[in-house]
Amino acid sequence: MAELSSNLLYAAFFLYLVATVLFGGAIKQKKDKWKRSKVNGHFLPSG
Amino acid sequence: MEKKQSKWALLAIWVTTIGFIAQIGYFITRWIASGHAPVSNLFEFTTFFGMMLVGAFIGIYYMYKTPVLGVFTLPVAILIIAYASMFPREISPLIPALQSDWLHIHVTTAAIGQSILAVSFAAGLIYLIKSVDQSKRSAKTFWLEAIMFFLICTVGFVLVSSGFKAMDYKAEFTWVDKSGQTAEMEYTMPALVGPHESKLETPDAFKPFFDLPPILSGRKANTVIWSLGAGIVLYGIYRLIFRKRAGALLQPLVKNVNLDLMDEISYRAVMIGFPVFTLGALIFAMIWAQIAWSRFWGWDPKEVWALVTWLFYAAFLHLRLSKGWQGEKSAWLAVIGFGIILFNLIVVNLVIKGLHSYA
Repeated sequence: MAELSSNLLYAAFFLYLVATVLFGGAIKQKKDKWKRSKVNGHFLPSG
Repeated sequence: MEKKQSKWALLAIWVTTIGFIAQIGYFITRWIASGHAPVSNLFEFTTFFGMMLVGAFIGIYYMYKTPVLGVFTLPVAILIIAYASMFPREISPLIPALQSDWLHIHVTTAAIGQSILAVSFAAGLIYLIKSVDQSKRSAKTFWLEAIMFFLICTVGFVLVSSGFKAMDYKAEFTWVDKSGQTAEMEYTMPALVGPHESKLETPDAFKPFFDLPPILSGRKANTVIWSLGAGIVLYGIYRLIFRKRAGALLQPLVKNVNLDLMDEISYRAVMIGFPVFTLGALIFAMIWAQIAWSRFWGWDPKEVWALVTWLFYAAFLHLRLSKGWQGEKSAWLAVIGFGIILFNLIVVNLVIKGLHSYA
């Protein structure tokens, strides 16, 4: 039981590391979306 | 407001949740193996603290859906668990002073309160990394860098401890404690400072430069000094490679962060964490103290620092609600508050001897 407990803690630690990288990926993707968006310089017609 | 999550964020929160379930599995299986709640020594308490920090993050993530909070909260939890793993991990029976149901109630509630307050730190840190101008040197950049340095010191502690553990370094000392009794102490790192009136028993081991007074734990103070030294070396290497402050290096990560949202997360975490901390670290603690030691309050170092933490967060809420301290001021307070929590966890537990020095 003690060994299982220790293995579960290692698993959790590893998964948190992976999750941190994935959250980093989520931010990067968001940033890329900003990069892809283009401002076309046209104003909407008034009225 | 319902926000659309990216696939990466969705995957990340799922992996975090599975990790959290695995750690709950660790907690339950260790409880079964030891026969008591695994919060009785520094390893167990600190891993529980890390687990609850992840739990608090998951709860707050589902409220706000901000992936950047994961990028800063999870590494803090990882560091806390790595730090915990450097202490003895063997399952041991409870010492008589801890054999009470109040152990579960007091310690777990206090840790849950602290972990929710730690989310406030992560949100405050994100706020500061974005808002502090890194293009010029100032007191703000200095203190923000000091926080980064402290986090690097924790990495240094993990590396140094693992290194000496791998080398199986051991040095035996005999020393005189504050009641004048001769005792033995084992160091697992070369002794830069020795215990009070120490005599080195292991031949060829490193001799300490000087001895500490009996009120301080020599072995643990030595560990803190090694961690600081390793932190200085790591930070020096980092600066040589990147040639900029750690805060400046992290700034691109928080470029699109909504500062008002971070401010709200930080504030809300304190609003939730403060009453939980009050209950666990003061009220339940006093009830157990009355049962175990026949007094509600005894000015033990841990009790004093729990009170300091409580007063600090009470001042945080007071300043925010009555003086309008929001935004950057509030973020600094959230960061300082977590510093006090860590001081209570590391220095008060390790260096200062008291009734709570079980580890």
